[in-house]
Amino acid sequence: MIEWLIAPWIYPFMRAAFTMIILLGLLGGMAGTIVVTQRTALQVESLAHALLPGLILAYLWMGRSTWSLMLGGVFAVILTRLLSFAFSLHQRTDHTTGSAIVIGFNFSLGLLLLSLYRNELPISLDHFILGDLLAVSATDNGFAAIVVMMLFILLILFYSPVKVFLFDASYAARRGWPHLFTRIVLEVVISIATILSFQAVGLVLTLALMIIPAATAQLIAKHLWQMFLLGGILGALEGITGLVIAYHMDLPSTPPIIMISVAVYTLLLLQQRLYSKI
Amino acid sequence: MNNTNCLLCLSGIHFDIGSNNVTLHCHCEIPHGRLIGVLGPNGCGKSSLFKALVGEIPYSGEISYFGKSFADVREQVGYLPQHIEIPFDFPISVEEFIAVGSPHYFKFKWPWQKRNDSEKVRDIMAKLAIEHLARAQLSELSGGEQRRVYLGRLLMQDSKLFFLDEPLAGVDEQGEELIVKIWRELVDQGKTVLVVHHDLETVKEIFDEVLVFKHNHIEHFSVDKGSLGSPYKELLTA
Repeated sequence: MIEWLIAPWIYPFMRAAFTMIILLGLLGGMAGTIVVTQRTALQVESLAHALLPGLILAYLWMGRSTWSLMLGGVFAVILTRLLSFAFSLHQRTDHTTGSAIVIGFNFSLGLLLLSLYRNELPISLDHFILGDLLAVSATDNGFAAIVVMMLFILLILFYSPVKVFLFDASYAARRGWPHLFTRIVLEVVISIATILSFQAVGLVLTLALMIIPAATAQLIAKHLWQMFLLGGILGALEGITGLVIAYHMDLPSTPPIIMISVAVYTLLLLQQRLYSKI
Repeated sequence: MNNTNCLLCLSGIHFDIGSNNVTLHCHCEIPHGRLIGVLGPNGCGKSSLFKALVGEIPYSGEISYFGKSFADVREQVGYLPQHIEIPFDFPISVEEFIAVGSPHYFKFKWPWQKRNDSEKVRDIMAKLAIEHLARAQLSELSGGEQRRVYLGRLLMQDSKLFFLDEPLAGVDEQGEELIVKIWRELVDQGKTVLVVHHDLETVKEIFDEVLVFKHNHIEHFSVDKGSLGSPYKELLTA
């Protein structure tokens, strides 16, 4: 069993992938907790879809690098925010419908750009859809590690007001807490987590990687700090297990991770349902 | 209208609620240390006035607090909204929720610095008869218990002025007595409590004064001066 677990770690590209999935697990647990408690999963999904046109434009302009990833991310955030703002001006289009429209538009724009510039792009549609966890570099891991550390420190320093903001933002605003600034900081955190996840696991599974561990943690957490911590630990453990399985069964890296996350969530949910009936 | 002895002075308030523009013709001088009922039919602007006062909707008109700008003291006001829009599946215990009301809660502290609010939280929970719920999650509480817990958070705030929008909705008779007793204690400490209330039968026994909303006017009556045989009822039903 130990050998089975250790075997993939002998390859440098697998060690880089494990490092990234642990960091994404920790990041997803923390950022996912913000998304789950704020109920903004659809907004994250629309952002992930906006990354498709954003990254295509950035790759065309700057080639493939960490900076082009960031530039694509900035474009995606601006595009998504502008569209969401435009829809929010009309009160008859609710938040969910607006996000669904933005998702469709972003994805269509991405596909259009992809077919127009197919020959000039260094990567294919598969890369955008499924990501490429096995291609992450030491620079990518270093950047992800810095983001995880910064978010961890931010959450420790501002845990109390962030907690109030997450469950009752209008109360926090009434008490004089800077509402807009906090919202911007949290959006930046979620955007960076989305961009990093997108690069590793692709458009379709970014949201799942971020929110399933946090949703699982919410089933058992009694305090928000437990949800942050447990979400991060679960995300990292599920990532490692999924990647080991993918390695041994010669599967794409992300689907086993998500399947394990969903299995853990479902088992815990069933256990709680059964427990509540006894 | 700049009376420095008056806790709250309201004059000609106008606000927008969605597509509706509401103008409230009023000239009210609300003294401190009073328990005040806010009465009026649905949709007359009671809740909107509270929201405007706490800064949730924009307004124009004059609102002063002891002769000064009300905006400067807004953060110290205790406000209980009509609809509590917090996610009740959020992982937070009752005692943690009440502690959030502490005046120091939003001040920066290093992680190793403790807030020392636990004794006050315990006292408030005892006052509200919810000590047994200290470790319970908000999601495990009934509607009435949630209203009590919410009131507990307001009591932590040390406010001098409270705006409570239908705080007795969903509260049983026993809970109602307890909550009214707590309002009276606040008033005895010199604080002012404004309560949106709908049960006209209990107005006289609960409140010292009433603000009656009718046809975009606010009338201010004192209950204990006997001027209220039932003119507010007439105002409401006319």
